[in-house]
Amino acid sequence: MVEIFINDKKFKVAKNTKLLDTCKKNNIYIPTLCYHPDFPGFAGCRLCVVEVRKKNESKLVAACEYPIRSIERFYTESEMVKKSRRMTAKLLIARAPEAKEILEEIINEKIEPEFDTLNVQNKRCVLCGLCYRLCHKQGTAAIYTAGRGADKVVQTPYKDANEDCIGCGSCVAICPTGAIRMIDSNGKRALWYHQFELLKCPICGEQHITNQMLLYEMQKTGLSETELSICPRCRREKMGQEMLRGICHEKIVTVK
Amino acid sequence: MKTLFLLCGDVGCRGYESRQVYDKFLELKADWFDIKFTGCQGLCANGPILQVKPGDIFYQKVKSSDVFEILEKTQKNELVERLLYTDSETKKRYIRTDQVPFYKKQTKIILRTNGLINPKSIDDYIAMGGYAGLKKALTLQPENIVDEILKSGLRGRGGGGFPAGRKWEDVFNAFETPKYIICNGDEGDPGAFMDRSLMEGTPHVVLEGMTIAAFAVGSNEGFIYVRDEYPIAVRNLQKGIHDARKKGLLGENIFGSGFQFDIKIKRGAGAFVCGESSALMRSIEGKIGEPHEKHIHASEQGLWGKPTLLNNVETYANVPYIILNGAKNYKKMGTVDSPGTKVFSLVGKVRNAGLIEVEMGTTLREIIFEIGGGIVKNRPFKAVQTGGPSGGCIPSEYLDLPVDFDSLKAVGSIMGSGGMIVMDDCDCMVEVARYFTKFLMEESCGKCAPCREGLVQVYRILEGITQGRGSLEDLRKLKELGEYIASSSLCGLGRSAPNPLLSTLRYFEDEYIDHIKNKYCVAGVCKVLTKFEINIVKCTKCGLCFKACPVDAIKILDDGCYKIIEENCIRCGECRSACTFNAIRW
Ligand SMILES: Cc1cc2nc3c(=O)[nH]c(=O)nc-3n(C[C@H](O)[C@H](O)[C@H](O)COP(=O)(O)O)c2cc1C
Ligand code: SF4
Ligand code: SF4
Ligand code: FES
Repeated sequence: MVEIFINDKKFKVAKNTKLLDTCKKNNIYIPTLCYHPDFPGFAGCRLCVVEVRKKNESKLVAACEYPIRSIERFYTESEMVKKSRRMTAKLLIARAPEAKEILEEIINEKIEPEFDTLNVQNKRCVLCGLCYRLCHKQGTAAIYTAGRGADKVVQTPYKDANEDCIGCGSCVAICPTGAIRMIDSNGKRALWYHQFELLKCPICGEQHITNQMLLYEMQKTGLSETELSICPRCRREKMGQEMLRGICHEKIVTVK
Repeated sequence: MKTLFLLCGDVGCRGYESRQVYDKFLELKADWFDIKFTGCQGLCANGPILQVKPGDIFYQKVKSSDVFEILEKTQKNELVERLLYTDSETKKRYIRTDQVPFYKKQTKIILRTNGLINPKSIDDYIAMGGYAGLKKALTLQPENIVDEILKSGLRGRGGGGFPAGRKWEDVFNAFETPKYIICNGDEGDPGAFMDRSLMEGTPHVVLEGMTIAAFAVGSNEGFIYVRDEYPIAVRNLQKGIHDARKKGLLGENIFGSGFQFDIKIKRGAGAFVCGESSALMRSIEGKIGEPHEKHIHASEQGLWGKPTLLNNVETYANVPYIILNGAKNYKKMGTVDSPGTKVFSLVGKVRNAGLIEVEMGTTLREIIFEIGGGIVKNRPFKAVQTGGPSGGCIPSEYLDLPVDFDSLKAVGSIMGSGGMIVMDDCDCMVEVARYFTKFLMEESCGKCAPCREGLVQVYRILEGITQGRGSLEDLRKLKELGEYIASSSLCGLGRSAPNPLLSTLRYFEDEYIDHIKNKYCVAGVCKVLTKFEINIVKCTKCGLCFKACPVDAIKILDDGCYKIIEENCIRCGECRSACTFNAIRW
């Protein structure tokens, strides 16, 4: 166990606990954007910065990845922290002006635009990296980042329909800013340059799953086609419990 | 004794056709002499360089048409006067290498054999005392080697200056196995060639240093990560590894001691950020070379999650010397906190551009004005940028600063890997900041927001200022952005990227204000803010400017004077560079 101070309050935590986890457990709010408990180790958005104060110097660390290892003093709302956080938000809205409200909600204050808007196509994507990390984690690996620095974008290879994409919409579901377009209409789903055929639930008739998803899940879970083509709601009703694990099937949302 | 000609065959000199000179020597081959095509001999600006032994005669700017005369005169014990180094001020000629001012102030430990041996010959290296360090190390206890490195105070030469011994100790103490050794030869700094010269010129010293490290920390497998643009380094290292294996200096049972170690070469992924340690390890693992938070050291969990010792090329090259001569003797060189020497690539507006090695604590003035021979065309010195693209610009008031890791940091720059770019009054400091910010912005991996988004905004503002669109408000923004990027970025690239910006703001704020308020670029670089004129008092009517102007914007007047027609001038500054009388005013 290590004794630490957060905002001058003493806490005792197990060594190597991440600072963010400690704060969460103790209801100390830390804004986060790129963090997700299922795939840690990114620390890219830097909204979660916290000041570590030493005798005569201070530094900022990303709480989501910072392991607590020794007695240290952390400040989560100091001037230094707020300044950095505000700047990050201002810079992010210069890239993604349409993500302004969401960012304001995350950092809990109004953002005054200060910089010229960048000339990028997607006015919502803040490059948190959640979508492609999820896509890789679930094994489909259909989207990647292309380009470096400010030219970085989330894309399918060659900006074209990618055979690896199964049209599950996990990326859409996890995106904090609604930056990925997915349109379900007339039994079709448009996503990442693809047109997917949506299959009907044999019980309620809801069009909920693409053919590719069905095949992918059959392979991955070993369940039968009939079992998988039943929509989650009916399945739950039918079986009284969730049987399916493995793929983030449940996270699908539909963007109108 | 046979006469030995040592001809530099490294990058700089090859650019001046040293290959042809070498071929000429081969063509005229005779029994009384040997010719060696060596690694970098240092004074690249005056290449091809040729040294003659015995006698240590130093020839520069040798052409293949000179070879016959050189051979003839050497045989008669005469000199080829016109090929000797001549001081451009005093017109004094120097004969021996160690008298040439460029070499006089240098202390060669790392580069000792560079330029004296054929890089591809392991026998040459051994004849110069190579592998004696390894032989000695294998008779010591590993903990004693670690201790010696700790005591030597050796600090990492890859940029950070982290005490090498501390890393070695951590890896030595790590429980997990296997342990890995990595040599960082990525050298992504544009224009830098220290590590390259070493890997190309004396590959064995790197191999030897790594093998000693491996024995000390208990590793059997090593990697050298070589920048992709260095095919000759790869070739020479590969040859070196092959030869060392054949001689039993690498592989199983090294020197018959039972110790086993082997080295593989990995080609870099071609990105500046891949030189950063966590990105480099990902890249070796075959993943995308993006940096990661490093709260857990590589000595605990590095390559493939195993304890890993990562050091720079030059750091390893120090090791054989320390083992052979002892920490005590090593510490006699350099300063208390930064012992030893440092290799720099000295470039820019300095007369003797090239590769140098000096003791830590040598002052900037000694480096630039004694070794470097001062500023080209005797123009005034303005600043020196140390440490590669993310280094700071140091103004003339710090010329007497003794160069070491901490002193450079104190003035807002870094040691980096040892790049040194000298600037004169024709270099605009806002433009310098813009230029390096652009490089770093394009090399940012784009993973974290401060570096990705911050640098592009800094760049836009700087570009605006150089194009006459700046406002005083911009200066506040720049400062705020710079401090933010430095404090909030994920990896060292972002954390050091604002150095060019912040150091120029700190020392050359006047220049920024000139650009903004007076719409005037004092260096005559920013096109919109510059106007060139001919100073008729200084003009000798030689017409050099007239010939140099690429757009024919210079006219001859009836009285033989020259005049720049402002409307046609594209402000490229070619006339200014061409004029030998400093008669172009701006
Ligand atoms: C953006 C970036 C680029 C770097 N490039 C290099 C490089 O080209 N060569 C190198 O040795 N170290 C480089 N480093 C430093 C390495 O991360 C690491 O500190 C070093 O290789 C460790 O070796 P040392 O302790 O012997 O210096 C770089 C660091 C950063 C942040
Ligand atoms: S699309 Fe959404 S999830 Fe993906 S990087 Fe952009 S903001 Fe993050
Ligand atoms: S500081 Fe720059 S290079 Fe480093 S992780 Fe962040 S974006 Fe990538
Ligand atoms: S949540 Fe920690 S850096 Fe994004």
